[in-house]
Amino acid sequence: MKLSHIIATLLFLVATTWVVTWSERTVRSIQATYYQAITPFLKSGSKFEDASRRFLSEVKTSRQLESRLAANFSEFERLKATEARYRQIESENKRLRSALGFKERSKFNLVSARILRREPSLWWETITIDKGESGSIATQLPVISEKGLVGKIDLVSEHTSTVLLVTDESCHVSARVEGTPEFGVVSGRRASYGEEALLILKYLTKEFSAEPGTRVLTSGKGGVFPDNIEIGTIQSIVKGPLYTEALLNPSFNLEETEVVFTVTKPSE
Amino acid sequence: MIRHFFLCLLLLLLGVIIQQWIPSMGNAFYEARILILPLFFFCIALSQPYIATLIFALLTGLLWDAEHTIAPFTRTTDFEVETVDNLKYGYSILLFGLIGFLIKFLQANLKYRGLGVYVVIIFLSLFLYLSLETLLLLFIRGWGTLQDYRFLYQILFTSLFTALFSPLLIFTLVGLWKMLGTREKGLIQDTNTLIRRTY
Repeated sequence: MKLSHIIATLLFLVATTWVVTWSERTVRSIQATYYQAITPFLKSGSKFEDASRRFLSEVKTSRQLESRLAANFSEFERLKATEARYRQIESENKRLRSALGFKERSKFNLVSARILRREPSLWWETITIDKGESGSIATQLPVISEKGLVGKIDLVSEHTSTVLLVTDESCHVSARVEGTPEFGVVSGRRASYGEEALLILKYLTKEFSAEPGTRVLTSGKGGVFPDNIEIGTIQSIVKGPLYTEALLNPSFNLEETEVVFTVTKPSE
Repeated sequence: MIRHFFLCLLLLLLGVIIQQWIPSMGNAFYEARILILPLFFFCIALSQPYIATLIFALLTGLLWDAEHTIAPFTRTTDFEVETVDNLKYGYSILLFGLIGFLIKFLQANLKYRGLGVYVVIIFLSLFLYLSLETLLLLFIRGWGTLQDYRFLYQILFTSLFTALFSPLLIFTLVGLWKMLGTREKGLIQDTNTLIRRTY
């Protein structure tokens, strides 16, 4: 090995060590600049991916579409009936609130965002959304969908943000089991091939038991996620020597979701 | 030499852009994807001298981590029972440097060189890179996070598809370098020989 190669290798190792010791702030700033620079390509890439996704979905046979249409029609009829009932309850609720002098208010301030890219990395369960700093998004803000908890904001650039999904192992959420005094910690669990990604609820008491389908909600104890947002439903329970664990089906389905909402702050 | 360096730099940035347009291959192929940025680096490593390879390992690692690393939080979890550490920004620079070193070593010691050999080197390099990255991640996050061996198939298919895609990039690079009037050396010489043999 030549002397110049040895010197180059040493310089390379020094440079690598220097990069690895960069502060979180520096890393964040570099990543924000990077995402700002690639935003136009990210958006056009997202359009391309959407177009290819749409093309693939259009390839499905008409028979499949017909049966889906029939199923949707019956679901539509059912929802119409549900909506009529909902309207009735809503108007009754309004009358009662008005009677009691309650001020109507929504629980959260929500910023809607479209999903630009799903799971860009091999290992991290993340999505990229089309709202960033300019849309009042900041790191660590909770992200929800109409179905339930999606995750939290990991990285923000001016026009885009990366969301760390609740299905990632590194996203931990304080949770409670509906209808029980049980609290635990929900985290992601890497899916086996062909399976949907599941969540795991840890640190339940040894005596814990619940029916499959029981809802698991955020407890609000951690300070990052507000309380009472649905995380998932119990699929099965695994008894351990020290504590019980439950496997959950996440409420949020990445494949079916186009738009998510970032909870900026609770309404005053 | 300088022109080549800047052309490679331009190509690396182009790789970042192209990567944004490449979707994953779905469940049938274990969510594998063609990883353009590492592919550009491996091709550059096959065609550039050792020192330039190290510089490009640094640049590729910086770009790769900017897109893929989840930076540490001041508060990593919602609930302070346990925390899961992530890989530090810059880890991939070391991995790319290591792979670049191995590529140069193999290139210098192989008797037979040709496009097929380079495709195999690219496949092995990416397989090694992704395996090392996974092992580091498992080491940091704990072996408990490993539910099955799906990741092995994912790595295998990703390496395979990327390696199969590589001849296209190699021919493009050779074309560009020939336009710049490069001396026939390394990857360029071997690819030219192959083209002469084929046609």
